[in-house]
This record gives sequence, C-alpha cells and structure tokens, in this order.
Amino acid sequence: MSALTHPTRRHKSLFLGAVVVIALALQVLGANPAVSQGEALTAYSVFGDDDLLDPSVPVWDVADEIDVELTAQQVSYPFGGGSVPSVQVRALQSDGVLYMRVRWADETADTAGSAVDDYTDAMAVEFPSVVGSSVPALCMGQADSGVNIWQWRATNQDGLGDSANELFTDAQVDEYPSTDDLYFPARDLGNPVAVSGAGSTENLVAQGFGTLEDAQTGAVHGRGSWENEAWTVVVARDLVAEGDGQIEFQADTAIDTAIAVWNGDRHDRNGQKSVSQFVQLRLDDEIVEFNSGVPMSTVVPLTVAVAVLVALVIGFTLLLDKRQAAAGATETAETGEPPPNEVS
Amino acid sequence: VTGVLEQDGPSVAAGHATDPVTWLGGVLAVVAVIELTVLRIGTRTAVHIPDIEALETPYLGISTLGRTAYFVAVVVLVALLGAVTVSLVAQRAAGAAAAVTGVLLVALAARIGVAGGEVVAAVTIVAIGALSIRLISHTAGIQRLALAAMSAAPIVALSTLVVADSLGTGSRLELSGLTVGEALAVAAGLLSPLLVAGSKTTRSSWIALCVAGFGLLVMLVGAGSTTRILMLWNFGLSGYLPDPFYALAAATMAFTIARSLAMGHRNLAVALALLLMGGIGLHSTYQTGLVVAGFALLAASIDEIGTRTGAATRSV
Repeated sequence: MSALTHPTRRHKSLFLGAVVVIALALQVLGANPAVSQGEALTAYSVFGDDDLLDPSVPVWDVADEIDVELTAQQVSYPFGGGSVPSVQVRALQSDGVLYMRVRWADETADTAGSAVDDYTDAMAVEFPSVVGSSVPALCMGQADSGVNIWQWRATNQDGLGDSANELFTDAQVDEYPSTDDLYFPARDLGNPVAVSGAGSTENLVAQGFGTLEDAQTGAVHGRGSWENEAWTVVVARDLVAEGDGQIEFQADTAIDTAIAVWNGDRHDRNGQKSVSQFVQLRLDDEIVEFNSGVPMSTVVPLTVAVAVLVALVIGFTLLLDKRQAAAGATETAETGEPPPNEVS
Repeated sequence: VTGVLEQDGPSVAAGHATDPVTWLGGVLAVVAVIELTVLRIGTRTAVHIPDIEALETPYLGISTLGRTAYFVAVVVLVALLGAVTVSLVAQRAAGAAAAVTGVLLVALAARIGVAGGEVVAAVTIVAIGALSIRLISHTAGIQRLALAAMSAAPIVALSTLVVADSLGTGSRLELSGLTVGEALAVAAGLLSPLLVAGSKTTRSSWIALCVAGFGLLVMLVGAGSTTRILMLWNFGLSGYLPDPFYALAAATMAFTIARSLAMGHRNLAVALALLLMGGIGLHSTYQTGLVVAGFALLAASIDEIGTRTGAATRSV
C-alpha cells in the first residue's frame, strides 16, 4: 500500500519502466488506446441487386447520414474555396465493395471543360493509405504516412464536352488534321483529364504536397447526378486494395476519411477547394434490412448505457453536495470552531 | 454560524512531489509536451518543407519519437485518471470521482466500438460540468471567474457539436457556438492569472509571459495560415478572433503556469498545462482525457487555487 501512497524512487523507476514497455508494445502492435471522437459514419452491409452506384436507389435510405462541415483550404497555395459549407455523407458496403455517397448544394452544374475559363464541379474522398494508429496530415498526407484519394469530376463523367465548333458557332477553328495520339501529347501520356472515356473517377495516391499521382492500378468507379440544385455523387471501390499506397478496408476498424468539393462556378481547381476535417468511417458487417433503419441492436443498448451513466453522474454529484454541506454544518456545530483552512 | 463547503478528507494540497497524483501529473505534463511539440506540431509542420523526402531518415526518427511519446502519454494519462479518482474518493468527492470514472469507461467503450463520438462528447460534458461545480462551489471570489470560463469553453464547444449533429442543422449554429467557445477559451487564458492573484511575481513568470506572447504573435503574423491550422487541429481554435487576443491569452496562461510552479503549486501548474494541451476541440479521447485530467487535478487540489492555502476556499 505504501508504494501507492508514498512511492519511493525505486517504485517510480519500476512504474516508468512498465509504462514504457506497455507503450512500446501498443506502438508496435498499432493498438491505439485512444480514438477519434469527431463525426462518425458507419457503412453497414446490404445485399440485393440494386446498383448502389446510382445515387437515387432507395436502398441508400437505410444508411446513416452525417453532416460534414467544410471550410476553405488554407494550408498550401493556391488557397481558397469555401463556397460549399457542408456535405451530407452516407456509406454502404455490398458484395465486397465500399460505396460512399456525398451530397451537396450547388446552384449550377458545371460539367463542361472545353473553354479555358470552364472549371468542373468535382468531389474527392481521402483515406490514409494504411489503416493504423497514425493519422496522416489532412492535406495530401506526409512522407511516412500517405493518403489514397478518389476524385470524381463532372467533366469526365460527361466526356470532354462539346467541340469548339459547337461551342462557338461564329468562330473559325483550326484543328489538327490528324487524330492520332501523337498530336495530343496529354492523351498520349494517358492523362485522365485528356482521355475521353477514362471514367469519371480517378484513383490517386500522395505522400505530401506536390506528390499527387495516379495510382495506375485499382479501379475506382463513380457516378453523379445533379437535381434540384444539388449534386449527389457515389464513388466506390473494392474493399481489397490492388496496389501500393491504396487503403485496404477491414471490418470493425475505424478509418479516417476526409471530403473535398470543388465548385466549378466559383473557379475552384487544384488547392482552391472546400475541405473537411477527418471524419471516422467504420465498416460494419452487420446486414441491415431495407427500410429498417439503423440496427436496433446498436441503438437500444447504447441509449440505455448512456442514460444510466448520465443519471449516475448527476445523481452522485447532487448527493455529494448535499452530504458535504450537511457534514460541514455538523462539524462546525460540534466544534464551534471553523476548520483551519476557512476564511471567515 | 459559519459552514465551510470544503472537502472533508485529505487533499493533495501543495502538490508535494512524493504524492502519486502530483508525480504522475508531472510525468504526464512532460511527456504530453513532447508529444504535442514533436507529433502534433513538428511533423505536421515538417510536411510543408519542400523536398522533405531528402530528410526522410531523420524525419522518420523524429516522428517515431513523437509517436512513442504519444503512447507513453496515453498510458500515464490512464494511470493519472485512476490515481486522481482514488484521491477524489478519499476526499469524499464521490461525484467528481464518478465523473472521471465515467469518462474512462466511455473512452473504453469508444475504443471497442460500442460508443460513438457523440456519446463520448455527452459524457465529457457532464463530467466537466460535475467537476466544475465542485471547483466553483469550493472556491470564492475572483478565482471563480477564471474557473467558470475554463469549464464553459469546452462545454459550449462540445455542446454545440452534439446539438448541431443531432439536429442535423447546418453550419450557422455550429459556427456561432464554436465562436462563443473559442472566445471563452481566450477569456479563460486572460483570466487565468486570477488563480494566482495577490502573489508576488517572479522573473521566471515575466519571462514565460514574454516568450509565449511574443512567440505566438510572431507565428501568427509570420506564418498565419500554418499557425491557424495548427491551432485548429491541436486546440480546436479556428483563429477567428484578432491575433493579439490569442497572443495575450497564451502570455497570461504561461505567466500563471510559471507563477504556480514558483509558488510550489505543482498540481495547479500541471492542470493548467493539461487543459491547454487538450484544447476545446477534443478531437480524440486522448485530448478529452487531458482536459478531464486537468479539471480532476484542480478538483483534487482546490487548496492550490489562490495565493495561500485555503485563501480561496469558500465560507458561508
């Protein structure tokens, strides 16, 4: 008992040694005792023939929705963005594929990319390349902790837009006589922005500013629709990673996820975008039935536990104050003298 | 007739170094400072250095050190929360002890995945509320102002997030609530010298005031965007208020901590440092633990609040 109440130098050394051993064991095992307590999103499992890439299929109604606040990107040039204040995010998993649905208000659908002052609406979700105790820097990760980004672009979804002759009917436009890739170097190099039909969504990896590049492997799919002055976009990828720098999703593991949105109407591009903090995504293998909402097996015990805990804390606090007040009054009445630390 | 609302059992007054709570608090403060400096500030700033890949080996070494400090801090934090709970029980402060225990349990529940962030936030709000009730009801005079601002800041910030999240409201409510929380946090820093009011100042406290104040002001003016994003990530402060407010708050907080150490009030100094490092954003259960440990340490060491033992205890 004396070691607990009056620890000697030897006791302290032993304690510190034990602390370091435990800490190193946790570090090596990647078992972080603390967790993020920001926004949390659960991707429950669903089954069926619905095409979850379609943002409007009713099965999306069973998914949790969280509201994620966005702010202007202010860490690295070019600064700016911030015109999209928030997005509503849902996630589901089905048949070994993770689907993320992101919805945000946007008065204009900016899908053309033919003119130099056309900027596309776009959205991206970002994950750490490796799920573990280390959360990378939000903006493009860091040298020892990269990020995997899935970026959907409205321009790519709708192709490369109308030809110049269709856009500017009164203009005379010279065009290359040849359609070979030799005369279109960006297309020849496989730049997905220049390749029509490359898909709406690109799989990217980065380990810090200036290192963003196409992952080359691993197909990421996406589909967006603009209705009632709002975009709703679904991006999806297999849970299993297909290459370096790409996240391997595991059930019951918390995964930090960030969202970015580019508003083409406000000339957002590159680092000029609206970004979120990390929110926590958890994959849950529990299968939810269509229209059943969040599983009651989660809601009921959680609600009861929280209610009991809150009631206990409040009850203890009130009881304590009463007892202390009574004890203090009794002591003073018995001794007739104030305790030594009282100021009268 | 005089009644004193003071703890009945033994306290960890005067922050004696052999007391387990005081000793653990000191260890945690040192390790948490290393974690904050190396991991939360150092590595997040280093990623901005061009061609950081050329410095990969030293960078990896430093970031590994930071992570080790983090894991050590988490283990010591759990031990401190346990020790301070025992101390509070010995002082017959069952409500405060239950509050700390509740946070420990809900953090564990969050770790194993049966409680979400909103549940942790709700329990933390109740816990900080319970601890601050004890603090404010057992102190008197102007010290209450500082303690009220300190406890109100994280409560307002967290409550805003919980309410906005549960109602699904947009950013307007959240923005206004977080701004109030941020203003309260700055006010808490500015009012913190009240906790050592009346004592003689020392050279060390003035040096701490100047270094913290000018240091933060130079960072805000010289590298404003980086400093603000670090403030947001580490302390939950968006940098919405004018720069001098933050510099003054940091200066006065550093002054109070240095003054507390000079007075031998180690628990008060450590508690303020833990509150500072936890911030008001409470992004993780680790930072929540730091804040709750700070309030619990104050609640277990009420005699240290004020200029002399018992000076600030309340009499009615």
